[in-house]
Amino acid sequence: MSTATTPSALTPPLRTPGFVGALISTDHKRIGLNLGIMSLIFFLVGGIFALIMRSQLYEPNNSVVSDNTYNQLFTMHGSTMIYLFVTPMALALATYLVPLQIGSPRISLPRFTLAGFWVWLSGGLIMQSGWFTSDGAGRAGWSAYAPLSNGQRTPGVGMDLWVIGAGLAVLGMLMIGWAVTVTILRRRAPGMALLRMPVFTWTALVSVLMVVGAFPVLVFAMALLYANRMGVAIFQGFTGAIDWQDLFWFFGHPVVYVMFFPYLGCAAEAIAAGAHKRWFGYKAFVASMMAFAALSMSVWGHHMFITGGVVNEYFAFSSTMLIIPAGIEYFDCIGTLWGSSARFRVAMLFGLGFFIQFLIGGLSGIWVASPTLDYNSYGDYIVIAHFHYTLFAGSVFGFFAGVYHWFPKVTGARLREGLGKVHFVLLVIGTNMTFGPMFALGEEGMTRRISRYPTNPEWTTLNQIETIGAGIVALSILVFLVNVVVSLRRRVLAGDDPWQGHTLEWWTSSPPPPHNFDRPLPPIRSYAPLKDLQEQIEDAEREKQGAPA
Amino acid sequence: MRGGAIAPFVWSVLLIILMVINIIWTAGNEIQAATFGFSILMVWLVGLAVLRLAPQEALRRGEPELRAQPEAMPSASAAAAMAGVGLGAFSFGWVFGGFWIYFGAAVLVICLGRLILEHRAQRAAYLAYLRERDPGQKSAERPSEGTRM
Repeated sequence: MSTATTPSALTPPLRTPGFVGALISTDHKRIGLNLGIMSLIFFLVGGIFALIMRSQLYEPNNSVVSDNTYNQLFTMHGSTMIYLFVTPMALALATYLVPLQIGSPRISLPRFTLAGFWVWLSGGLIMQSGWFTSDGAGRAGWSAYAPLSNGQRTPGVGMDLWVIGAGLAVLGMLMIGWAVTVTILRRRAPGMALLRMPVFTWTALVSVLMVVGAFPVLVFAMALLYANRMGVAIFQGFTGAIDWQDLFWFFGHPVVYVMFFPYLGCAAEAIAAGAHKRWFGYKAFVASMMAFAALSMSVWGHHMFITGGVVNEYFAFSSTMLIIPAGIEYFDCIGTLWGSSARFRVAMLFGLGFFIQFLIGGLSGIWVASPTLDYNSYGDYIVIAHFHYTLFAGSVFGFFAGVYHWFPKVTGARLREGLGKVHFVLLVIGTNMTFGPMFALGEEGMTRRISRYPTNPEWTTLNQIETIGAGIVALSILVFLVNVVVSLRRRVLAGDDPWQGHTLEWWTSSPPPPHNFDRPLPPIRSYAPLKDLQEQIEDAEREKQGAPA
Repeated sequence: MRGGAIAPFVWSVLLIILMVINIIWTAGNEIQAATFGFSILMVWLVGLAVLRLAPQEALRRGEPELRAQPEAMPSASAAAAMAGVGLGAFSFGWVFGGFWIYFGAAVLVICLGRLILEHRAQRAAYLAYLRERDPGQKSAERPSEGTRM
């Protein structure tokens, strides 16, 4: 049994008040919030790019933007969402929540984490600054395939800025990932063995291990790409093109799972709290996460099936193997809900939405994991539909599950449930209207990354449905922002533990104090220490009433 | 910290198995083996770093124990923030020329120097606290892990 304790702090924190103080704070909560807020701003920017693209595709041969601008838009939309929103938001959640969940008063390497945030932000701003150059922003896709991305085929400083910005953004996230890794491995509270860490912390751990393993490769690759653009012969000919893809996708596929696991953790925590049950099959879940993360480091070649530069059988095998750990996670979700007295709060709805929407992305993943089937879908809208169902319909739903679940902890106020349900319904409708028809468009043969398509009634109708769907998604995000503003201005106080949460962050005040815990931690005997405590109290009450425990 | 190195080492074993399958199946594709190997090395470095910091504990299973030592914690660091900005300015200079490179490098160097001073001040505060707490004791006690930045 562990000893109840709060790790002590030497001195009270030096309060550095005001805006500047918030920007240089080494408090993990402040860094996490700053990273989250900036990521959210980039999300809105990337969303605007998407809306402009969808407006262009509303009609065949439309002329809202030029072909060149469209190339910049899809490049910057993908880059903004991946390098500047979904991945850093996952790390923001980990930075804020992990020390609280493991009972630590702080993050390890706080200055390093803070520097990482500023490196990431510098990278993001440098990447976006390409819009203000005469050549425009980067326009070789978020994957910047060689030789398209070299200095001859994509000339101009906008693309140079993209390369440097992407490299810096990834370096910043790598620094934050290191800090979170060391925090989890070194700073757990007394009693919190590895197999007593909360579900979200486990998802964060496997994510940051992937960050540590895969992200340096992209930083290195971006340095090589920059040299290549400056005329150093690196990615030349067929071999050079394949080498770039190997380097890029060695980062590019693991990052998909860095953009997935923490949101899976959010959904799992929201569902377990909403169901008033422990997360079902904890040890199987942990084992499956480790296997899932390892496998996801070995599947990158499925992006290269058609190149002839990889051994398709190996990557088809490893990609298809992902079904097993994914199936365990779904089984655990069903097990948690089975026989529970679930309350369908907004966080719970988004958690369930995550699993259901992601299922569509996951099942279409089986399709693209098969080389034979992938040959037919490569480069068309089936691939776009697949990854938007994993990254938007999956990760973003998980993100909102986390927001509705932890907003009371972060701010001390609850988000409005009514507005939240409107947000959820609109997001479900908008998401499926936007990305569902893409499967049909891909089947019809519409290729990705084209700004104009020939007049074809079926294509036009499907594209119009998608554009209206994108508008509904935008409306749902607007409802969410209104909800945040209303909830912060007219506060409904949440209290310390509004959901009867299971993990240590609900033990402290809302919002948490500078050193996280102002009172001794409860004994940690499982991955749900507060659930243990609730059950002890219930047992004691039953005993008092004379009923068997 | 008890068990801290187990997770990265276990995970790296899974990666090694997958890398070996990759090498056999692809008949030794160099770039794939190199990236895979590099990635495993990075994960090992995390494990080894944790092992180095807690050699008696990091590979033992079980619960972390109580750390009774106080910790010195930074609450803000303008130098760390500006070091990040300096690196950004330095990188920006590779596109927009000399000034930004020199400006970024200068900011970076100054801030790294400042970070060393901050670290020393933190250590000094910690030792002063120990002297104040135990006036008779010589201040030979090592700072807790919290002071390692």
